[in-house]
Amino acid sequence: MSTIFLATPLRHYNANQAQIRLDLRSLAELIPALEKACPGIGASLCDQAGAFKPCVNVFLNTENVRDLQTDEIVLSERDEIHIIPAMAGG
Amino acid sequence: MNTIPNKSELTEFDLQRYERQIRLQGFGKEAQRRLRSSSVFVSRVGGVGGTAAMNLVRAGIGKLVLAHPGHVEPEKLNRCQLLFPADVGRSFVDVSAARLKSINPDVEIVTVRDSVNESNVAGLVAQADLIVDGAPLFEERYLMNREAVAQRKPLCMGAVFGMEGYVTAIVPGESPCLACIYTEKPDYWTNINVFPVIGPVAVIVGATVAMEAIKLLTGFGTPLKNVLWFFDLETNHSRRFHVNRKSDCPVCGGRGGHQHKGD
Repeated sequence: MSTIFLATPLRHYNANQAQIRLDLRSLAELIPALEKACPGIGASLCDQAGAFKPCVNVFLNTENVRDLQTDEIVLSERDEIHIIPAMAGG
Repeated sequence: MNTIPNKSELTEFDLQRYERQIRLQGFGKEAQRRLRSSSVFVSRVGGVGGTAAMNLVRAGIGKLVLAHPGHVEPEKLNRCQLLFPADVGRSFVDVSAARLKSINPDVEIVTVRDSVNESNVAGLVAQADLIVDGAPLFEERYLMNREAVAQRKPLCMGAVFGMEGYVTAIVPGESPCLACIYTEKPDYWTNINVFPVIGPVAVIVGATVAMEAIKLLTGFGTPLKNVLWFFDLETNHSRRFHVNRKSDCPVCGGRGGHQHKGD
């Protein structure tokens, strides 16, 4: 089970909870599993081609998944995923 | 560097006022002199920018350029440390400048009763050695980011949403710019009232931004270059995420520098 941390603007998809635990074997399973657990969240994170929107960063542990250049990375029990949309509040 | 003339010498009162920070290992009188000779442009002096400005003034910055439109409204009082209820209706930037000047009369302050826009951004950035970005609109943030990259000025970026915040130090050519990290704004960020916030969240981000500015101006410590420091004060959850330059970034792509690999 991987731990997924959702930033505030996404929590209404998850009963206003910050975290959700999902059984993911690889990063590629993230969005389908999230969408199943939190209906509607997929469209807010990804474009029609399935890529993460430019206003969203997804971090696997400390690394931005865009920099990993593959979503076939095998996930382990201790992996954390953070989904952080851009913010501008001051 | 926009060196401020005749400001590098420390008086006896300065040595007393800044004694605690001069004592910091690696800081010393030289860092204090550098701070005194430095200038910072602060875009919006609200919860984040106002806190950053206040901490820079207390630390002994030489000059601030402040840009903020409009008047003080009651809803700003929960997080803007420079404002009091009696200020409602007064010019936001003028009140803020007066408070900052009372904290440290030695600081030179330039005020602009406007937000950053296409016509003023180049001139505002040109007046300072470093930019502090506390604007509540992405349009302003992207403009400052573009200009900071064009003029090769460091930019300390801090932002909040609810109980969360993040900070990074953008050094053109060395670390990712805002457009590398977030190429576009979220659809829902349509006005300055989008985000909820409580004082301590904005204050932590603003104080951290000020510390990053002090580090970059003086060479003291390790700035948050290539790092997006994120926190959620609701649970005290905090992480340091690695962020990298994008070679195809529409703002800074191809302008030299290197890709960072995690530490």
